[in-house]
Amino acid sequence: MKNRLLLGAFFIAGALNAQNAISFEEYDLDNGLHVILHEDHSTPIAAVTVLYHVGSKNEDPERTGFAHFFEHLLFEGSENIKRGEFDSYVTNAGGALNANTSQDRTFYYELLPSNQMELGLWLESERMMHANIQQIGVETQREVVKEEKRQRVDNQPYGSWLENMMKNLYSEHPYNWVPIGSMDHLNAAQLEEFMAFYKKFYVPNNATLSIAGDIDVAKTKELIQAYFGEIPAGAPVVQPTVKEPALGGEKEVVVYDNIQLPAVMMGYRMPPQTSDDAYALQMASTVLSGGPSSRMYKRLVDEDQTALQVFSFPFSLEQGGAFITFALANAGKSIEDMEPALNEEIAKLQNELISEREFQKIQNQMESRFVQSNSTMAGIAESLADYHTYYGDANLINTELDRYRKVTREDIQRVAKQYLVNDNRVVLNYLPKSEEPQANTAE
Amino acid sequence: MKKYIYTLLIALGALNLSAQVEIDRTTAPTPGPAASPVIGAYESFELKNGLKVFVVEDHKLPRITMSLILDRDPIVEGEKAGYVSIAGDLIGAGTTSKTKAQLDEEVDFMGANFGTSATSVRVGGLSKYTDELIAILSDVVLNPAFPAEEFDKLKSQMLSGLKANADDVDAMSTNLRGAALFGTDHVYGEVMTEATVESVSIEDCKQYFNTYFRPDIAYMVVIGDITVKDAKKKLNKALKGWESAEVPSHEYAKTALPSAQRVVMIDKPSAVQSVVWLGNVIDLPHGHPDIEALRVANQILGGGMSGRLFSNLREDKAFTYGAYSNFSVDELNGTFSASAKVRNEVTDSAITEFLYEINRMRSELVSEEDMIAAKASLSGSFGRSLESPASAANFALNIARYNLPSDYYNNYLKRLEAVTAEDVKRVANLYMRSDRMIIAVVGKAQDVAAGLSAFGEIEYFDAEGKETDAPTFLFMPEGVSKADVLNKYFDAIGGVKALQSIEAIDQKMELEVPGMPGKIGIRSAKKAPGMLLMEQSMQGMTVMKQLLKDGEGKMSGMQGNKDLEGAELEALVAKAENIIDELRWLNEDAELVFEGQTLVGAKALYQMSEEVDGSKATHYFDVESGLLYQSVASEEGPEGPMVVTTTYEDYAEYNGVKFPKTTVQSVAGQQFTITLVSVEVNDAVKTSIFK
Repeated sequence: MKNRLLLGAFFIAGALNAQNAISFEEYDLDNGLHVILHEDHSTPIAAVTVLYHVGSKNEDPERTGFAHFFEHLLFEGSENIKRGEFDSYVTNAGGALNANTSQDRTFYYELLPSNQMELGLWLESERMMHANIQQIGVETQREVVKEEKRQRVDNQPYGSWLENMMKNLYSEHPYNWVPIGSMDHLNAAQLEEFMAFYKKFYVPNNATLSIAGDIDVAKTKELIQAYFGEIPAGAPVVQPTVKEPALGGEKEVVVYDNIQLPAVMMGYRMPPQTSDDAYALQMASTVLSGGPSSRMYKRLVDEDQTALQVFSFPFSLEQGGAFITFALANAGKSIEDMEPALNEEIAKLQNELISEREFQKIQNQMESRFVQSNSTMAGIAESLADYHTYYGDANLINTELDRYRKVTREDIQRVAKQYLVNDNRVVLNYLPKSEEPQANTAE
Repeated sequence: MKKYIYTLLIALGALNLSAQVEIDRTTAPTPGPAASPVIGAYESFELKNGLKVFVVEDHKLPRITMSLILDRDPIVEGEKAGYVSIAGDLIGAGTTSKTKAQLDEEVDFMGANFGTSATSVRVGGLSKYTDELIAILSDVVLNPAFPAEEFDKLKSQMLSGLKANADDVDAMSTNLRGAALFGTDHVYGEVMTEATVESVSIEDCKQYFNTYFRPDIAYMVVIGDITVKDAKKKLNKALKGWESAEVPSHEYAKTALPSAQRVVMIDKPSAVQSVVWLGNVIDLPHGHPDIEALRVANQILGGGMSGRLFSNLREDKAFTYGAYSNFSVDELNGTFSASAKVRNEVTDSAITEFLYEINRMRSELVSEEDMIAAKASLSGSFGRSLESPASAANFALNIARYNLPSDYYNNYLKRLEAVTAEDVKRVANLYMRSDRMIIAVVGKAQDVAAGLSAFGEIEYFDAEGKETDAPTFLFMPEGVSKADVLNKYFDAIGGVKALQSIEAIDQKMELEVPGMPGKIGIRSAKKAPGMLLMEQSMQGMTVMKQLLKDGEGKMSGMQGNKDLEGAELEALVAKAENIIDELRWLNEDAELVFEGQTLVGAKALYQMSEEVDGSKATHYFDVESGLLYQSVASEEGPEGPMVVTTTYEDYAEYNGVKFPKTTVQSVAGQQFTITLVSVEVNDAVKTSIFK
């Protein structure tokens, strides 16, 4: 408490934020559906979103790719929406829609003219209540998902890096695989398995309905009750509690890809995104690669000119994730030319406190990012749902900056020492296929 | 008080709450009255040096962006392609008072954004730093230093970027389209290569800056937490020293459509998907009255998840993750295009569907339902775009740049509403030119070229947009041997037994020579043991004749008669040895090598090479039918070695054995067609003809 007061007095920007505070109302329906509403009449639009707390980490290891596959399936229609019409309702109403799936969640949204907000409620309640899961949809979307994987992974230079990183970084935890999953698993899955997945995870008590925009809150609440109130609650969803053993030593993996410029990716296991240490690691990554004056960028791209591009970012997930540094070699340079500098910059973070000036700089960067982050209704609805689901505190949308401000220079050094160590990392070396040894006698 | 009564009524059960929110989930809810979208206000003014400024005040968040934008004609970069882009980056890489590192540090310390390009300088950040941001922008515009070491760095980064793009299918597709639509010497088709980037000098960059970075062609767009008054005061002060100068303009001829559909391809052997793009140039400058109708047409065809392309290629056929169409509005030439990334094996089917849907737009009136939906979707997306204050600024900028009426965007929805189904069909015919489209594919030619050639002869390009030869596609198919290929061939023409049972043959043919009247008759006959006749005649007159009988060879014709001896005689004897020539391949000493499977045009073929008396021939057998499709032999001609390509077509059966009815021979660009007229075998072939 004392800390907070002190910070409040210290930063004038705090007052600025308060002035632009995002007000919202939240409550639960009887069936457990969590509702968050933000009213803003500046533009006659509304974002209707539903976050299901199910991602690839909730999948059976023999059925990876299910959560993402579901995202596709749930555009197939419902008892009252004919196959292929889900999209048309929205586009014909002048709206836009889409969805995405991560390790931790599946997120659906409709951006609508505000007079069409109720349409979003209808569609989302249909999706939750009685989605249409049929063989024809399964067959079609199976092929579509394969094309998605070819487009994003197989036909994309370096496209397989995240899959390779997570596979090596986690062995027991379901972060071992990525949301796109295994095509073999999808091929093998039967219709009943899809039904069971829907029953288990697509229940109101595992979802957050978040709406932002030009709405009348009282009226909206009534409509929400009418559309979603009758959906029965399901069994409580239990999130996985897999204990991942320590990595126990550095892993180095070579991947030969259809590329010309080598790249190196280093991934360190991270603590859960809600932890204080995850915030400190976010600050650490800003020191390393936040902007062209950051340490790694300045060193590798501007000074040594060994890298064409370098960045680091915490790939923060609910139960951990990976702190990633990524360096793409300049023409004629090799991984060996870049790697020592990357290691030295990590070591420097561990061995020395960052300067006061640098500390101030990254705080300013965090502030700027935070102040500018909530500028659209879609973004606000999504952030509110995320903060509620992962942190149990939707109001972080207004206060998250405080969590960054709590991080000290010492914290940054400490987390660098604790997490960014070789024993806790996987190094992926991406090399051109032309360099692959031809005579492979090892196997 | 009102609330109190309300609660009371509920408590008394007097108010049926659900009556107010009765829903019927079997149908979509009816929308409330639509609010008409309002375009944000902007103000504009001009500085003394001619710089035009637009300000959109938006105080919702304490942030500001300022963009200086140049409005110049496109520039042909030629052998220095890339210099304009390097110049754009170099402008932001240090001023006379600050190094790049200092600039970077200053920008990052504010948590701000800063970037330059060949036609822009942009800064953005928290509005409390407005003065500092303006100072950076004006310093860059007024005092760029063009540091030599930054130039070298940018150049090497550009070269690395080219290497990174070399495996990027999207970058390849962009180069391919540019080359095919406009040609690589056109301002819109130019391709940056290692050679062009290498030849860029720092002087080129300075020259570019001095010529084009002038207030005369510049617009300044300010959006955010600032008042117009402040903006005017601050910008005037900061940029009044920016000197005006006349900027050259460039005019280009409009590009015409090709006379017919073209198929162009970059072969990327590692590709597991084809980037399929169909498109054509259009002539549609800003403000053109067809824009809204084309917008509706494009929306119906491929504007999103409800578009016909998406429904057909993704939701129905599952060929792709997404299929869309698009068009661009441009003062010189825009493009209409449709594209998708599809798996190799459905590449040609996807193109068929693309063409089907485009043609449907051109030949059928779209339904009233489609019209309503497309208009609703477009006006909705216009409404959503207004959430960003940048939209108002962009509209203002476009009105100024393209000389549009000041209410152009305010009337957008009205113009949209006025579009009819007939308009849609008309613009589809005018701008979606499926009859003269470029079909551009980046993918694995080995897998997709055969199917693609159904749409026309494939023109191959390299990754840099230069025309190149067709790839060879040769690979060794698993589990296929030389013997398999030969057996399949002999089985296909009647079987080895049937062939070996032929002891005499007499074939009559006709040869057509382009440009020559009449036909040349050819007769080729053999009979065991050791008899051979080759005769060419015109209008019944023997032009040339070769005869082998009883070990003696004779040649006669218009040039006179002679007895054949030595090598010439030996060749004739060898020819007579196998009544059916191809049976020689069964001899143990035949120098025949199976080289693999390949692709010629749309045909999958087995390739076999043969050495006969030191000269080499390559034979191609149709994988599907087993028949001999083509032989390519190099022969000694009067002017050195010539390549003779012989293609065998229309196999027909004569006495249980198949022979090609048509044989096309091409030599040195000339083509001859030989038609088989008759085939007689065994007893029908009299010994008396060998004389």
